[in-house]
Amino acid sequence: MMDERELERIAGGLGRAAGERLDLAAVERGVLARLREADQTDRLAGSRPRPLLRWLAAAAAVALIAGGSFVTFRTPRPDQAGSRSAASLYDLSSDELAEVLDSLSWASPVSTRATGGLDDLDAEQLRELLALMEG
Amino acid sequence: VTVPGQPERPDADLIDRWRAGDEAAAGELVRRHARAVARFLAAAGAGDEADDLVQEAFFRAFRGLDRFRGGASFRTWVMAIASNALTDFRRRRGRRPVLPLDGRDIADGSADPHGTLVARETEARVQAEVARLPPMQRDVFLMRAQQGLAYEEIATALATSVGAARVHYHQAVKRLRRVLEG
Repeated sequence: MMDERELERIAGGLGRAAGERLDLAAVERGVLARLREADQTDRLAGSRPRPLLRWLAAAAAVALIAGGSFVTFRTPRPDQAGSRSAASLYDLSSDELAEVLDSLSWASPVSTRATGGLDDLDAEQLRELLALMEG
Repeated sequence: VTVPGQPERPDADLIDRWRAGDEAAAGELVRRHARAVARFLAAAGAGDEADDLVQEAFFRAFRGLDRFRGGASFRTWVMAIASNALTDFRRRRGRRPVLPLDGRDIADGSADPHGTLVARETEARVQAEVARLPPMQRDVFLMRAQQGLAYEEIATALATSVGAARVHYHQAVKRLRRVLEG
């Protein structure tokens, strides 16, 4: 039966041949060469501008500016929206305005009945009513 | 770096000199400890890759010297790095431990041919089973039984507690005895 001491004695001799045949000079040369190479790479990486990173940063900045401009251009400002709406109302005749109001009356908080009927209103009043409904 | 006839410079001095840019100090540290690291790796099952892994371990050690706190000796610290390099190598290559079948890593036991044969066979079986141990058990066992290190130093090098190192060692011994007696 192998006891612990015997096991330790055998373990003490493991790998002895590998240690003896190791070419120390070759290992030393190899380690130092790799360290020199890595040191050189570090120095170059530290001093050299990183073109890829710079390009990526520039591309990201352009994308942000272009995207922001597009969104700003496409989003109507509240005053612009109102004036466009008002301008389109002026293109409609009295009958067309009345038709629009009729079509909206089901959802409108403004009761057309309370106004005494759309037929009694002139074009200017109809426009005002539509503008009021539009908010 | 070390002058013949003069006492060896302590590792800590050589490490400081290397940090200050003295390449010869690194060379001295390699020459001083590489054989022990090679033995450790060979016993762990590195086979023919042991030489390359020794080089890799020292390269990683010098590159990561900022992480060396001095709780364990430089040699033990490099062994722990060598163990990681061996694990990485096996993972990359998908290789199992190399088991010595030709007895190349097994030293002669005696002048008696029969005794030598038996000793070689036993040693080969021990080495094969050591290489099959879980990495932590294997490292603790080799650092203790092959390198003769104290549990405190082993625990520091392998980033574990002294108690855990003892447990790993006894589990390794138990497993090896069971396998070798079976």
